[in-house]
Amino acid sequence: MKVNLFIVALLLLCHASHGQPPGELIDQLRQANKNDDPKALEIARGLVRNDAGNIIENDQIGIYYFEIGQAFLNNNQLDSAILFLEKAIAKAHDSDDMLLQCKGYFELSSIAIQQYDLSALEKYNSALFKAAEGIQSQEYLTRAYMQKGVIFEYNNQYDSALLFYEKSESMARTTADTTFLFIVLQSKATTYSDMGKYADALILLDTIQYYHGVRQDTARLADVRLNMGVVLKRLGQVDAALELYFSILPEYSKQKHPGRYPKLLANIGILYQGISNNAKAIEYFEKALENSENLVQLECGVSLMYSISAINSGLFDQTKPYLDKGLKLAIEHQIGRREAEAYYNYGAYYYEKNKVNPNRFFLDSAQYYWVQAHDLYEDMGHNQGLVRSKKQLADLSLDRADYANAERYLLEAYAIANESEYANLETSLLLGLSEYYRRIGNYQKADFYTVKYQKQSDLNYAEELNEQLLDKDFYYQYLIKAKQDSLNHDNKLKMQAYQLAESENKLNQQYIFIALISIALIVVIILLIMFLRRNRQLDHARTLIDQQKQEAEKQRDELKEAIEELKIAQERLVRAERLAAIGSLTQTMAHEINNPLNFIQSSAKVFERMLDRGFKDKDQDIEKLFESIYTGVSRISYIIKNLSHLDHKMMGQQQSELLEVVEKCIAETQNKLPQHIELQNNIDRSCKLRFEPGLLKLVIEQILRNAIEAIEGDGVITLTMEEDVDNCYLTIEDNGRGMTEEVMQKAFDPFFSTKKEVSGVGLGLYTSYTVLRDLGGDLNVTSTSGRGTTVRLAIPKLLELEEVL
Amino acid sequence: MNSGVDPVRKKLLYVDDEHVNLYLFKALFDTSFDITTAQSAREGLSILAEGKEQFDAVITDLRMPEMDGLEFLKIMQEQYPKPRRFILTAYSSDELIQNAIKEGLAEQCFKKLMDTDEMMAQLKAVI
Repeated sequence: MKVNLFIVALLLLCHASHGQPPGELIDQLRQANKNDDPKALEIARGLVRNDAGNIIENDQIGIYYFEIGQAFLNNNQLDSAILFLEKAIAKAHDSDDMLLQCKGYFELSSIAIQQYDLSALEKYNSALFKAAEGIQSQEYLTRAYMQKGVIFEYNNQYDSALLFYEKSESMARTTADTTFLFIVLQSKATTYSDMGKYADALILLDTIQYYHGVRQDTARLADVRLNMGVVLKRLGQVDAALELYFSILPEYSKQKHPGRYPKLLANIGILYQGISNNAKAIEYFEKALENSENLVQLECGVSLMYSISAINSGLFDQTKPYLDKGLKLAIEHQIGRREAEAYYNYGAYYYEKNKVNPNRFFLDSAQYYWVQAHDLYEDMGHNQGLVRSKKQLADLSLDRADYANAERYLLEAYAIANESEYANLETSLLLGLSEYYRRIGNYQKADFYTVKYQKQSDLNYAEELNEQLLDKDFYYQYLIKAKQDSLNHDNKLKMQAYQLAESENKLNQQYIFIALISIALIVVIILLIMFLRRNRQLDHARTLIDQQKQEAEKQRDELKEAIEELKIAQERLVRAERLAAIGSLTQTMAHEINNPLNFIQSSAKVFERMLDRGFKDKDQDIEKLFESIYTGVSRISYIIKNLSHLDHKMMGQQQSELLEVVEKCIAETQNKLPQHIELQNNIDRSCKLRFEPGLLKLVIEQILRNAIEAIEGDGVITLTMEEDVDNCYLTIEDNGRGMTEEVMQKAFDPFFSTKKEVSGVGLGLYTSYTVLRDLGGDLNVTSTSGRGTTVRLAIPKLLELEEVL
Repeated sequence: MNSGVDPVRKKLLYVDDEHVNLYLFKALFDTSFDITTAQSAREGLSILAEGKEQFDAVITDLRMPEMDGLEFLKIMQEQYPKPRRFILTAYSSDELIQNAIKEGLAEQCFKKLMDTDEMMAQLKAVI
């Protein structure tokens, strides 16, 4: 009895000190890790602090270490994460738990990738291969192949890297491991970009972006866009890159990963600095600095970049504190390159200051700092910095008429630049040399260097032009393919649904396989019963089969759900497109209704007043009032008729045939056609369109109405058709009175009409244009006053692929 | 209801291209104001040019053929700045109207469908 009490007390004490038993805590930790819940870190720290590892049972301890490692990893505490993951792997080796080994090695190599630690990555990757092959884990082999690709990428062996990415990609596709598939695709895109295949990279990133967009995974979406921004920047598309960077700012501002947000801000600043928008650059460098607490490298680099933008804008007062800060951080944390950069910027600071406000002291200071930068760059073997410092010192010596030193610096700098093939620096030095010799009166040498300079700068210009053309070419390739891609978004969804259906089939096969195994199991169990007559085992087997069946059914359900979700997403896309078109139409009509409604309301008001007065002398007005009311009613009913007609048609099919629609319009217009107008249809072949037939009819009828109205005497209206790969072009030409330039300018404005009769205010060119444009087409008008008007419609064609699907 | 008798009755010029609107406006408001109507901006301008009457306020529709309400108001602002200027329209491009008010082309915009009593009260209050 006493002993029991003692144990109870001990247990209570144990609970009191740890709050909860460690087993439960590990489950909680696993759950928190899974959901990326910040609580995980707290639990992990608690477990480590209380040394819970000592009281955990042996078969749990590996998993325990792994989950703790994971918690640290998710919260970016990499050193602690590595420590515990290594511990977990050691335990997994002891207990031969290959799956845990896979998990551990995979996380460790992911950390190595994050830290650019190539030797660690190679070590962990080969261990991961061994463990994954040991248990034939498709999941971890897929990951191992991908990380092997990263190793090649780090060694700049891009072709081999692509080979391994593609291997991993095809495995991820066969096992329907979609989340990882898109991670692999992103690595592939990075490699394409490194190889200079920018168009391929952008298209791939665009696909990934689309996928994350559909799943509303904003964090991953932002990462993809950052990568797209980097590629666009390399292509010289600064505006497009900026736009992307801005689109992800809100997402990054709430990310807990330190450094991402300020780095993004700094990147924006650098883009602005690149296009000489120093005010904006300063603004974003400032924001980056505000957010780079404890990120020394970043703070130091951004401070120095800030100082350059400030010097360029002549804001000398603002420059100094940032220079001081950059230099201080560089010295404190021994970042040699930044220290040299700081000295160089100090030199520039004093030199520019001297230009504005000539002062011996400034010039001395500039010289002092540039010499410092020069010597440091020389020690580090940083040739580019060295050349730049020498060039500045030469300029400064020239200002002081110290010709000997100027010549020495220029010649030294030119020699290094020439040797290291810094084409741009080389040209500026050649120019410097020719100017120098001209100044000291050595015209022979001056001419020599001038000729050399011109040759070199022509060469540079040609090369630069060539590069720009290449870049432009890449970008256009991308734009063209991206346009095609966006047209095929629907198809992409269909393809995904199709792939999911296929993997469902595969699952069905697995189902049969499981059923076969189950039958075999039953036979074995029956044999066992016959031999051993033990019913209990049969029961056990049954529950096992049930569980497997349930598991399989659950997976099936999940797949069905996924397909359902995809279908809904697809429908939503189609509906959104249609709603936008209806929206612009109904808005126009709503405006139109208010006017005739006002006739009725006002008439009622007047009528009411007359009733109050007892009619008296205004009896003759009653007829006029009723007329107003009926005018209002008939005009509204005209609009409503159009509306309901439209609404009805909107629910119909999305495809149409041009000739069919045109013939219908002509048939309906013909009987309203005045004698003196001839309608000529020159369309002789069919063209399938991706366009609502009802809407198209409304648009064509509208244009025909305009054409008829424009013809005063005898006239002809001609319809012709052309086509290219994307569009069908319908041209409606009349020889009526045409439009003056003034009228042309307003032709597309809403509610603009030159017609005086009441029917002239319904659907105008504005609505036709809006509808066409919203559904991917276009409309343009050319007109000569007194000669006639030509309206040309571009209507998107139905792609053959769409027809099949 | 002879308008000339009452010296405090204010004079209004109303411009709209639809005769139904002109008729109804007159029927609704001529109990309180002395109303002249014009069926186009040009007609409105020629009435102003004649100078027979000194209008206290001009109310115009926006969308009219040949010359629209904004052009009309612009010309008025330069040449006949004295009458107060208002807009009455079903057209609700807020941006356009906001800009017109910001530029001082008109001091207020009444929207169809309007509450006539309220419009009357507001007009009386400001002119």
